[in-house]
Parts: sequence; C-alpha cells; structure tokens
Amino acid sequence: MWWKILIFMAMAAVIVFSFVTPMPQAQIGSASRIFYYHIPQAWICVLAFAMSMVFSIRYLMYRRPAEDDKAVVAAGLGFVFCLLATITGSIFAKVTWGSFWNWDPRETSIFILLLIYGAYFALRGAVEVEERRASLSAVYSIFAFVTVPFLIFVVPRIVPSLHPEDSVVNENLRFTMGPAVRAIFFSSLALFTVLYLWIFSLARRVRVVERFRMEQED
Amino acid sequence: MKAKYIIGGVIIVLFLIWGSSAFLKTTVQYVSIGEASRATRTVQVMGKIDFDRVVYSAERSRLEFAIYDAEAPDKTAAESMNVVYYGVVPGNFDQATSVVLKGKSEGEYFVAEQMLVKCPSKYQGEGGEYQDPRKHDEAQEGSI
Amino acid sequence: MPSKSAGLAGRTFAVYAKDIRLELRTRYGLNAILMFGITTLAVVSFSLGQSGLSPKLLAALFWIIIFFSAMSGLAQVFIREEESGTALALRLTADPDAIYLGKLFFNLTLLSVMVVIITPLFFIFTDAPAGNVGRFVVVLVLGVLGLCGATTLVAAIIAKASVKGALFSVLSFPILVPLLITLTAATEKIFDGLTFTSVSAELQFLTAYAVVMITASVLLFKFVWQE
Repeated sequence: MWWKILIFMAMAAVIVFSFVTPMPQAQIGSASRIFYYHIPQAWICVLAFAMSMVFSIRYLMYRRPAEDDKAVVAAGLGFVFCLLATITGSIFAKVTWGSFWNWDPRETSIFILLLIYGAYFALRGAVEVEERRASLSAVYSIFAFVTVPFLIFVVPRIVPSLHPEDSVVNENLRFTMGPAVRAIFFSSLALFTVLYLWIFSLARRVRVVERFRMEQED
Repeated sequence: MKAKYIIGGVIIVLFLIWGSSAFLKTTVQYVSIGEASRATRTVQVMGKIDFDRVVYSAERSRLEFAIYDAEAPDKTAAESMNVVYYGVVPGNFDQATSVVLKGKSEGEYFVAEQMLVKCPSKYQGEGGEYQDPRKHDEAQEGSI
Repeated sequence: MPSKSAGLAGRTFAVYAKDIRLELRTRYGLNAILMFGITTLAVVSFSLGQSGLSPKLLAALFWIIIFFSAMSGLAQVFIREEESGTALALRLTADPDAIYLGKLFFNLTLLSVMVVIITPLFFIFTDAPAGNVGRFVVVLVLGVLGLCGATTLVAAIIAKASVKGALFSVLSFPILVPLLITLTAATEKIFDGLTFTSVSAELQFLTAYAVVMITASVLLFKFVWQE
C-alpha cells in the first residue's frame, strides 16, 4: 500500500516541478515542458511492445493461457501509451513546426506502430477458437516486432526529419540536458515505467478474474 | 530443434543490426557553394545564413534566403547563393549559426529538399546555468 | 508426395511442384494478380497522362502498383489449402519447413512473373526514365524477395482466421512500410540516373530485410501451421 501512495506523491511532485522549474528549451518556451511527458510515453509504447513480444514467445514455448493474457494486456497498454505519445507529439509539432501532422518520419513510425497494434487486435477479433487466437496473434506480434528496429533506425534516415535525435543523449553518448532538467526528466521516465507496470499487473489480474468467471459459467 | 531457433535468432539479430546500420555510415560529401549553385544532381552544402536576405511566405510555406561561405573572412567578399526551401521552418532557424542543405540547383535558386540547422544546444534550462562548451555548434535536425 | 527421407530441398521442391501444377491447371493466382496489376497500372497512367512526372512520383506509383497486386494474389497459396480441405493431407505428408519454403518459392515465382510482365508495360505507359537497367533489376529482385518473404507467413496466419476479408493487407501493410519506403527511395535514385554507390545503403537494407523476414518466418511458421 505504502508504495502506491509514494508513487502518487512522486508523480504529483514531478508534475509540479515540470511546470515551475525553468523552461527546458528557452527558444521554444513553456511548450517545451511537454517533453517531460512525451518521451516517457513513447518509451512505454516501445517497452510494452517488447514485453508483448516476450510473452508471445513464452506462450509459444509453454502454451500457458496466462502468457497470452500478459501479451494482450501489454499490447493494450502499449496502444494507449502510443496514442498518448502521438497526441502529445502532435501538439508539440503544432507549436514548433507549425502543423499538427506533416508526416515527419517520427510521425510515420509512430503511426505504423499504431497500425501494428490495430492489426494485432483485428487479428484477435477474426479468430474464434481461443488457443488458435492466442498462437496466431503471438506469431504476428513477434513477426511485427522484428520490423520495429527498421522503423526506428532506417525510416528517419531515408526521409528528412525535423525530429531531434539528440534530445536525451547526443552522438557521443553524452547527456545533452542540464542537471535540473535531467533530474525531472529521469524521474518522470522512472515513474511512468512504474505506473505502467502497476496498471499492467492490475489489468492482468482483471483478465484472470474474467477467465475464472467465464469458466464458472460454462 | 533448439539449435534451429538459436541459429535463426542469431541470424535475425545480426541482420537487424547490419540492415539498421546501413544508413549510419553513408558519408555524404559536402560541396562548395560555387559547385552547389551549378549542381544538377542532389548535393549537400554547408554555409552561413545571410539574415538580411530571409523572406518567408507563410501561405505558400516558402522560405527564401541566401547562404555564404562560412570560411570566408567577411560576408561581402564571400561566395554566396540564393536558396529556396518549401516546408516547415525549423523553430530554431533564427538562432542558427550555420545550415546544412541537401538539394539541387534549379535556375537561379538552390532548391533545398532537406535543411539541417546547426545551433547552440538546448535542453539546458533557462539562464545558461549549464554551459558545456563541447555542446556548442552541434548539428541538430531542425528543432524539437 | 515426398517421403520424409528426402532432403529438405527435395521436399520443398515437391510442395512447390504440386502448387505449380495446380496453378497451371487453374491459373487462378496468376490471373488475379496480373489483372489487378494491369488494371491499376491502366488507371494510374490513364489519369496522370504520359510525360512530365517526377522520378519520385513514378517510383512511388510503381511500388504502389506492385504492392496492391501482391496483396490481391499472394494470400491464395494458403487460403486455397484451407478452403479445399487439403491442408490436413498436406500436414500429414510434409513437414512445416518444406511447406513454408515451397509456398515461399511459389509466391516468388508468381510475383516474379507478374513483375516481369508489368514492368515493361509500366515504362511504356508512363514513359519513365529507366536509368540503368541492371541496377533497376537488382532493386526489383530484392523488392520481390522482401515482399514475398514478409507476406507468405501473414498469408498462412490469415488462412487460419475465420473472418478473412481485408485482413491480409491490414496485417501486411505495417510490416511492409520500411520495405516500401526504401524501395521507393532506391528506385527514385535509379530513375534519376545515380550510380550504384549512392544506393548502396538502400541495397544493404533491402538485403537485410529479406533475410530477417524469411528467417523469422521459417522459425515461426510451425506454430501457425500446426494450429
């Protein structure tokens, strides 16, 4: 219990600090504060996708429905965070580049990620037998994840991008942020990760209960 | 059976790295401003922005400016050329120390398809509390 | 059908030969994919007129035509087995690796035939600058490999789904985006008359993409097929 209160207080503190400390980038102004939320959301999006792939591999190895549950829950949360990252990114793009959406390669990559998640759930909807649904969607999840490195590393280098690649570390792997900005940013990153894991475990337990009730009804 | 998955996994990882790295090492040569103004194929050129000659038309999202040789001792004597760029102007264009352009020459203008703005680094907090000289003048793709 | 004692190559060839014989009898797959390609090409060239298109636009149009034609025909190899009820017989007589590779080679043949017919027509209809033919062929080969390598497994997945509909393109498109973007970029450069060194990064990526997708498919196919 105590750690839930701690997370709540820490997140509240990060939100307050993200607004009262100096602007992370003076040239853009206060709008640049959105990066404290945008980057952690994008990170969770990729993390959730990776977790979904790992649970999919485990499902194919052990054939336990619990692994499939975890893969679905991770994919669902990944989709939500992907949407959040898209929305915050779009707002940010409006402020700095002048338009909500202009098919910048990063916008393309995240749009493709949304499509992959969408396809994953479309596939699940199209298969009725439970075991078959689980293994087909597991295969698709693994297969699609294999292309994600290509999306992240290749697409932005073929099409010109305005999106910065060095807002966290530069090409020499040195931090490009000042100490205060860095402290808030990494706290936000850590707290978003903990929050995601918490929601993940809650959602997974909901699925277990649902499964139990369906078995009782049968 | 297990060996098949290990070998397959290794092949996938190796080729993922190899394929992803394909675009990292593409060395694009820079050409001089004089050469760029005659280029009929896509080239990459670097120069300083002449802020007196910046014209921006918002409704056509057309940015017109001139660049001059950054090496030259003074602006008036330096080689320069007119540039047009269509698209979103990077937010830190006004602070730019220099600019990298990819494109080709069409008539009296160099039409830039891609523009990279070099400017002092960011995410340092206001008031310059954190100044690292190494960070100065890093190439940054547009603005965040 | 092949006996289990034959080598992987022999078993693969047996599956491939069976599909080719079936295709020659009905010509269903080739007709579908070819008619789709020609129709799209005709619509494109008809609505855009002949000359004055930029290499960028031509490259994009070319791969859009190939992509949609592939989407119309490549799923057939597995759907046919499921619908005619022959999947079970195939499962008993051949192993997953041979089946996947046989089907992959069949799809490669199908798409290659289609590309060989469509590409000259494309140049005739749109008056595109061919650039260097040899270089263009290399990009074409890598493109066909990548397209088939990525979509054959997806075809196996959707054949098992109870609602197929547009599922094949819905599942394939996100996976194919990096490939299509790179193919368009490389083709544009070749139409522009650039040399091989300027597309070396694209060629490296296209090779890696095909290898990764085919390897992943070989590893994963068993789980789809035995479902």
